[in-house]
Amino acid sequence: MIHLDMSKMADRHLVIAYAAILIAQFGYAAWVAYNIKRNRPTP
Amino acid sequence: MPRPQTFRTLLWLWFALSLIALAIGLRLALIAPIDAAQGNIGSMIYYHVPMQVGGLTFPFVNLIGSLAYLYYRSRNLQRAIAFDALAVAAAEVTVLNLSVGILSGMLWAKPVWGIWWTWDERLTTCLLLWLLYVSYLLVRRFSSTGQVYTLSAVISVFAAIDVPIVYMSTRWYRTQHPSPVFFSGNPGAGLDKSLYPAFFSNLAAWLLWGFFLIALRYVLERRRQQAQHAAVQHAIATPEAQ
Repeated sequence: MIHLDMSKMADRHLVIAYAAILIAQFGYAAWVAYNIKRNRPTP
Repeated sequence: MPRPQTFRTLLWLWFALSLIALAIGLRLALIAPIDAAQGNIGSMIYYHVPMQVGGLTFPFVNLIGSLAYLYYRSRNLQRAIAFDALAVAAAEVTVLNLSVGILSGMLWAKPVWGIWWTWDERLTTCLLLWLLYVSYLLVRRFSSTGQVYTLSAVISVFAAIDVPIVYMSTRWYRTQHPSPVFFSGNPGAGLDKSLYPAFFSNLAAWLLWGFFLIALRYVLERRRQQAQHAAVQHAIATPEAQ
């Protein structure tokens, strides 16, 4: 089981990488969803 | 093709399934045994590897879309541009995955290797792959030749050639990057079985999520194409002020 020690560079890097992945993936999904709404065909 | 309502329902289900799979993956990664040599940073395998596997899988979706576009462009234009939408969706998700894959690799490398980057064959070919798909997207964005779909489809074919080179680089060369964990033919290689649940659940979850992103981006590209088509039709139908 993981117990993070943020005073260690390795643990900080693990957290930064995970955060970067989440922000990039979910941020991209949100951007696409927003643009789908914006490009909704007008009746 | 499924009807739009069915497609939307499937997409929502897929989204929910991906989130559940990602949550399970995270839970298993948190309780998995810690790598004795690397410590906590060894858990990067649950995120870096799925990003890179996606980055090497989605180019094939892009390639299929591009080849289908080239095949249909003089036979069935509507079908051709639908495949082009698939190709651009896959290319964007490829760039996304490779970007975070390379970044997470660098964050992993610094504490383990002592360096952020080295120009070994795996890292260099992977960076080249990223550059190829970035250039694919830039050509689509800025080309004004009128042949942008065809041009980008051809770039896609060339870019896809780099995928097997990236995959084989750790087999062909002695690299700083670790040698392959799976399918290496080396009896000493492999992942400890206690790490399998966390590794494979994260791999499956991120691939599921990646294909969801491609489907979502495909919907957006089709809407843009339809809006563009409607604008052209409107321009043709509207009499010019003469």
